[in-house]
Amino acid sequence: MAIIVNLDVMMARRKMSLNELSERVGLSLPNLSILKTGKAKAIRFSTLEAICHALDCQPGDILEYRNLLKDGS
Amino acid sequence: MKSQTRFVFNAVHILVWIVFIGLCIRTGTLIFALILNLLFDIGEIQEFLEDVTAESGKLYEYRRAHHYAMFSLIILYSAVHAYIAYLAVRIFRKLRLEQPFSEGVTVLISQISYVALGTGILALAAEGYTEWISRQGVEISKNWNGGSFLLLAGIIFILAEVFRRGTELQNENELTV
Repeated sequence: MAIIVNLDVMMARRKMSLNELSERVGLSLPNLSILKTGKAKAIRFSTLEAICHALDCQPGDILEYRNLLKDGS
Repeated sequence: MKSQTRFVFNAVHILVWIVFIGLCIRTGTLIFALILNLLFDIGEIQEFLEDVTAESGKLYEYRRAHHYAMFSLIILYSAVHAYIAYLAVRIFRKLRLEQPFSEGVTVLISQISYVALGTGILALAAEGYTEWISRQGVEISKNWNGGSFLLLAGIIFILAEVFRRGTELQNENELTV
């Protein structure tokens, strides 16, 4: 998929574990894992808002668009 | 889930099992009778075959090859019925009313539609063959229901496509965080 989830990068920057983020956001660990590994098909605005609040970042820090055709990958 | 829906679901499940077993017994009996008829010339079996095939008995006298060809078609038709019932049994075993859309159920419904289409074509061919034999002067009152099976195949195919889309939506919903 052309949308890359950089959740693990932001978590590393904030030195926050998956368990801690799960508790702060109120999202289950399996769902957070789905999001982190890029398997998620969609993300709710409410979830995105909660993650941005917990990590003190912008949506653009978590989600990134990469043109796969241009990159040739 | 409503208890009434659960009750109807279980009742239909049992009914499908009964139909499947009945069709298996019927097909098995027909195959056994055909083998006996081929090996031994027993009058009772001949009468049984004539009852099942709705033949007037003239076909056997007219030409044995046509008699066996017609009977083989009837066995094949019965076997395909049993196979459709078997697929229906498998659907009931896989179907979960809480989450009805799954890849397995979609594949099975698609299979039923293809088998029903094949049965419809077989039945139409058998109808043509029966008519041809009737024109030779041997009356056979056998209704193959070819058109009904083609209609059934069309409806089930649409249902399979709806299930395919439902499965996609359900998967998407499950992967929304």
